[in-house]
Amino acid sequence: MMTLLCLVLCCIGFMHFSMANTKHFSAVTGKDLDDIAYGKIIFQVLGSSFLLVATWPAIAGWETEIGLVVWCGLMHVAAAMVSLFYTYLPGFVRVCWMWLMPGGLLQRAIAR
Amino acid sequence: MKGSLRQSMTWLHTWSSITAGWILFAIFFTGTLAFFRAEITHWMQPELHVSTPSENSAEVGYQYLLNKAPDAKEWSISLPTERSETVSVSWRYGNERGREQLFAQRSQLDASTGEDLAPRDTAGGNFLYRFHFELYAMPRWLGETLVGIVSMMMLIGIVSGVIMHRKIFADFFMFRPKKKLLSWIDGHVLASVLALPFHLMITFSGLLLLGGTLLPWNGNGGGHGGPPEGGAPQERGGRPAEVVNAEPIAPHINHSALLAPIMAKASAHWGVPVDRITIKNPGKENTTFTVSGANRVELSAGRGGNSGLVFNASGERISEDPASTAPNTTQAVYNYMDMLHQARFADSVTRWLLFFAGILGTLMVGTGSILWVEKRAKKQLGLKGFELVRGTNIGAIAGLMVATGAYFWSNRLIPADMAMRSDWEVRVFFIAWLACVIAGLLRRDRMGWLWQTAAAAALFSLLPVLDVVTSPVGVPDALRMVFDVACVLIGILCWYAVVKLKNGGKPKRRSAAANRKPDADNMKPVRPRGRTKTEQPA
Repeated sequence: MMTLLCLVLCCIGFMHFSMANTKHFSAVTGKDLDDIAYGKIIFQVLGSSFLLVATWPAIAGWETEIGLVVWCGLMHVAAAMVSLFYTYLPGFVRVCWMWLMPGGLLQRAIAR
Repeated sequence: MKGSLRQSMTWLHTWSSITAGWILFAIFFTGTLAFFRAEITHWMQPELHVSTPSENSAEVGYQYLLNKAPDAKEWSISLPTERSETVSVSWRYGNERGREQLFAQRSQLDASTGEDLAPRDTAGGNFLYRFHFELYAMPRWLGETLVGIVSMMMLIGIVSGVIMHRKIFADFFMFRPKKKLLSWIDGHVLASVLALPFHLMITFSGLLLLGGTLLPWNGNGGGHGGPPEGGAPQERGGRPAEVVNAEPIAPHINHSALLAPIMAKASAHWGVPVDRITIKNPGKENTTFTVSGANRVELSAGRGGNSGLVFNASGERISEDPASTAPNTTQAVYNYMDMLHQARFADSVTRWLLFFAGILGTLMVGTGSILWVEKRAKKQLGLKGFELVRGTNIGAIAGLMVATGAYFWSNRLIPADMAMRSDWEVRVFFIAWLACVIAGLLRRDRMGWLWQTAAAAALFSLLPVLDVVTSPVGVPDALRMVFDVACVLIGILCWYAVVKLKNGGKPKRRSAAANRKPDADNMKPVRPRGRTKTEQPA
């Protein structure tokens, strides 16, 4: 359970990181990242925060030293997943970003 | 090496990696498999497959030792775990000086019946493990030195790769399939960058572990965790020792009834099951039971990081055997790296995570070697040096997979009672690999890749069938099942590569749009039918 939680948090973190990239953002949303004030920084901060929070389930499940190793390993898996999703399931990424990710919801709120 | 820093780093990255690429691929590939060496060895010893773990496995081991070595000084019982289905017992006698023997005698037992299982002679997963840091058929110091040198080149390749990559963060998640050279670049960058912390850790810790060989003047020779010069020789494969001055047999007290409550107490104390029981002075009134489990919480503690509980002959807890601690920060860092590299602490989840990162490392090296060829294919096709690299790539990458598949097949096909059979398994591995390297040099084009990948695909995808047919137990246990499923997955990936290679060689059909004359909006030239110059067989 802790493994899954850590993996999901890492995936969310990397999703935000990737959306802080101009190319990825416009590919997913069809909009320009520069049109959102502080968009890049906001997404990077959100991404970093999720990655940091992901240490909690790892440390809770494996103690500090081994937990950090597990966290690092799950970050590798999450990064690979996000990258493969972008390539082979772009529609899924779009839906996830617009309806599930805090960054996507924030982006929509700002747009309104 | 001229030009800007980035250009210099590109030069360094290219040439440090390509010269060490093939051996690095072998090290990464076998090292990654070695994360599961216990499971591989279990698969490669079908005689052990009859064992089924049971609740009274500890009593089974105790009764065996009671009959086999009642007058031993110390007994040890390793219980079935998630990585083992058998009970492993060992015992030591006292020698003339009253000390215990250095080497213990060992047996592997059926965890339910206590039958002494005599597994076939095989190097198993240990061959892959040892090969990845000391190679084979050469003095150990030479193998370790060579591995140390290529590891250093790997570290140079990683650092220079990070510096040379202009858009390392912009391209972090970028993969563009079906773009030929761009796809290889993206694949190489993805495999490298996504697991960069692992690549740095595994390379640096590997160098640390080889420190004894690479820096012999530091007085800690032996390398890779070996003993100091003049110390006890490192044991390989549990060699049984001569019985020295065994004590006279005394009336034996059977303490087997104590095992279950002792294990229950220890398990409740740690929250993890007991996996090892060491009994000193067995059957005597001063018997002590030391139990341990997978209760490690620190890596910096090193190999003695598991704590134990000590019980007396009445089953009462008399003391706690604490986990060792590193005496200083330097040792703690070394321990941390040692434990990480060898995954000695790892449970299933962590082991799979390390395995996944290892696969990314293997892909990084493999795609890097292929990328070198793809980049130069147009300009250097036909040149001797280029053709040598191009052909050797096939044997070193696809050929190694064929060799590994052949190694597993030979394990089941070579008769179990054949003399020196473990040597023959290793010979099959190297003969298959050599054949693939020669075949790759002879056929250096797409067909060379296709044949060898197809051979690897056939070998791996049929391994589960071979397992079921040649094992005394038809239905695989959990360990065998994981091995078999992994082989099927590797087989599927290889078949996928075969299909891609086969389709990649065919000319694309002209679409209606392509048949139209180019106009102002569509000035892209249409590719001619047939093979291009770069796709011609060598």
